[in-house]
Amino acid sequence: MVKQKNKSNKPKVAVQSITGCAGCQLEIYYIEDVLLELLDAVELVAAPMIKEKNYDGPVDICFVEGSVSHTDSINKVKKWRENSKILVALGACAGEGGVQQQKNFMDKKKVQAYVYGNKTKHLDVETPVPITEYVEVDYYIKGCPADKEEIVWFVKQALLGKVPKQYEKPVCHECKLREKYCLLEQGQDCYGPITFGNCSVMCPDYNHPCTGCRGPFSDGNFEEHIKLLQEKGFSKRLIMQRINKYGGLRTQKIMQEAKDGKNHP
Amino acid sequence: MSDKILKKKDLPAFLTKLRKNSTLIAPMQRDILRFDICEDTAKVVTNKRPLFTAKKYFYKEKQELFSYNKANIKETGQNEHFVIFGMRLCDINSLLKLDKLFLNDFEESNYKKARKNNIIIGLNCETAPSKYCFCESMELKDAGYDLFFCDAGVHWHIKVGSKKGEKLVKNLKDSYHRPKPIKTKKKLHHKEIAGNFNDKNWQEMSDKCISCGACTNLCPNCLCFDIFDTPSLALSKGVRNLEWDSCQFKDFTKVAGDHVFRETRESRLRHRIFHKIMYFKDQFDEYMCTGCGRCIEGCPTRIDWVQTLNKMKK
Repeated sequence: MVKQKNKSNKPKVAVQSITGCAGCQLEIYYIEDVLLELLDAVELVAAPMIKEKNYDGPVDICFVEGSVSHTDSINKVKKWRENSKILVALGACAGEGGVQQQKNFMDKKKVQAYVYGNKTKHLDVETPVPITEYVEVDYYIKGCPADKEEIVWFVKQALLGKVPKQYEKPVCHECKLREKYCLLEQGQDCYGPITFGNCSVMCPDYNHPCTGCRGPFSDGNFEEHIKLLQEKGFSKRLIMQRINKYGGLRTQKIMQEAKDGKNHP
Repeated sequence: MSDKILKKKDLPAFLTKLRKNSTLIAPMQRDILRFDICEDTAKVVTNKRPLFTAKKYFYKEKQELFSYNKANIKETGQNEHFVIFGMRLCDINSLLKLDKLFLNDFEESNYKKARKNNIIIGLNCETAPSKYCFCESMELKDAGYDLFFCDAGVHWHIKVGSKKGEKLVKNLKDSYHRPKPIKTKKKLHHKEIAGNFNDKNWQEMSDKCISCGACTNLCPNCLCFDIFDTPSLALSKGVRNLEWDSCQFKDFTKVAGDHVFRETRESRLRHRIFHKIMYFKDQFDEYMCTGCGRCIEGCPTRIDWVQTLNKMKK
C-alpha cells in the first residue's frame, strides 16, 4: 500500500471518537514500547484527543471508537467512511454497541429519565448501536478496551498492504493453550466459550471468569451454554444480563439465526 | 536387558541424579496437577495423572519456526535436553503416533530435536486414573519409553526400553515382578464407523458442543496448527510462528473467499472422531487415539463420543 521513506508517502491515519469512554483511543497512546516506532511508520493526521490541528480530508486508515448514540454521530461516521480507505471499528462500542447498548433491552424513556432527570428532553438521543449499523467496516479490533497488541498487529498488516482476517476462536482456545484450568468446571459463570478470544486470557488467568468484553463469538453455541450455566445454578436473568453486557444486539441475532437454522436445516 | 527394581523411598534420590545434567519434568502439584519443571524430587506426584498432557514439551503450543530479514531466514528452534518422568502409556504412545506425521514425509525440525534429546520415563497406571479412560480398547504398544515404572508394593519395578535407559539403571538389582496390563472399565467397541456417517447421534452429540476446543487442546494426539507471521513495525524483519489450532472451530476450514468446508458443529465433531478412528487407521494401520479419555474428562458438557459410538448400530 505504502512506502515509508519520505513523510508524504507514509499512510495517513486518523483516530476519531464518538460516544464512549475514550479508553480505546487511550490504548493507542499507551503503546509505550513501540509508540515512537509506530508514529514513525504512519502519519497521524487527525486525533482530536491529543492534537490541536486535525486534518479533515481523506486518510488511509481511520480508527473509530464509540457507538452511535446521537443523531449527529450518524453523519460523522458516514463522512469518515467516505474519507478513508480502511475504516476500523476500535473496541466494543464501535463494533458491538458496547456497554451502553444494554439500553436496547430497557425502556428508553425510563433510562433517560433515570440518568438525566427531566432536564435534557431536548437532546436528540438515539438508542446506542454499533457503527456497523450505518457503515461497513473493514476490520474490527475487539475488546473493552481494544487490545493494544492487536492494534499494533493490525497496523503492521496494513503497512504490508493487507486487511487481516479476524480472529475467530473463542477465549477458551487460548485459555487451554496456557493450561489454565476451566473456571466453568469450578462452578463459575464464565462466558469464555461464547466470547471472541485473542485477549491473552488475562481475566481467567487471574481466576476471574470471562465477562465477554470481546463480544459474542459468532459461532458460539449460546443455547447450550445458557443451559450449562443454568445447570450450575445461575439464574436465566443473570445469564442474559451478562451475555447482553457488551454485544447484546449481535448476540440476539446469533441466537435467532441458530434457532432459524434448527427449524429449517 | 532384564527388568530392574528400585525401592520406592529411593525414587527422589534417583530422580535427583537425573536432574544433574538436564531439566527434569514431572507431574507436580501446582494450582492443579501439571507437568512442570521439578525443583524438589520428593514432591513428584505418582498417583494421579495431569489433565494437561506433556505434548507441549515436544511440540510447543506457541513456537517460533524461523526469523527472517530481507537477506535470509534463520531457524530459531533450540536444542533442549530434558528428562520427563511420569508420562503414562497413553501419552507415550501418542508420541509414537506424532512421529508418524512429524518425522516421516514432512519433517518438523523443532519436534525432531525435542524427540532426540530427551529421556522418557513412563509410569504405569495400576488403576485407570480417570473414569473416562478406555485405553484397553486402543491397542497401545509397550514401547516408546527409555524406562517404565510399574508399582510393585514397596518397590518400583522398572522396565527398560532403550540403551539410554539401560545406562541409568545398570547399578540396580534385577526384578522378577510381573506387572499387570492396564484394565479399564470403559471400552470402545470397534466397528466399521463409515456406515454410521449419517447417524442421528452425531447431531444429538454436537448440540451439546459449546465449541471451546478443549477436546483437541487436551488431546495428546491432536496436532493441527495455524501459521502466521509477526513482522517488525519497520517490516524489515520478522518471525514466523506456529500455534495449535482446533478442528472444532469454523475458522479452521475457512479458505479464500470465506468458504468454510465444515459449516456445522456436527460435521466438525464427526470429522474429528472419524479422523481418529478411521482416516488415520486407513493410512497408518493404527488409531490416532490412545484412549486417555481427556477429551471427555476436560469437556465442559462431557460429550462422551465413546459411549455414543458404542450405541451406534452398524
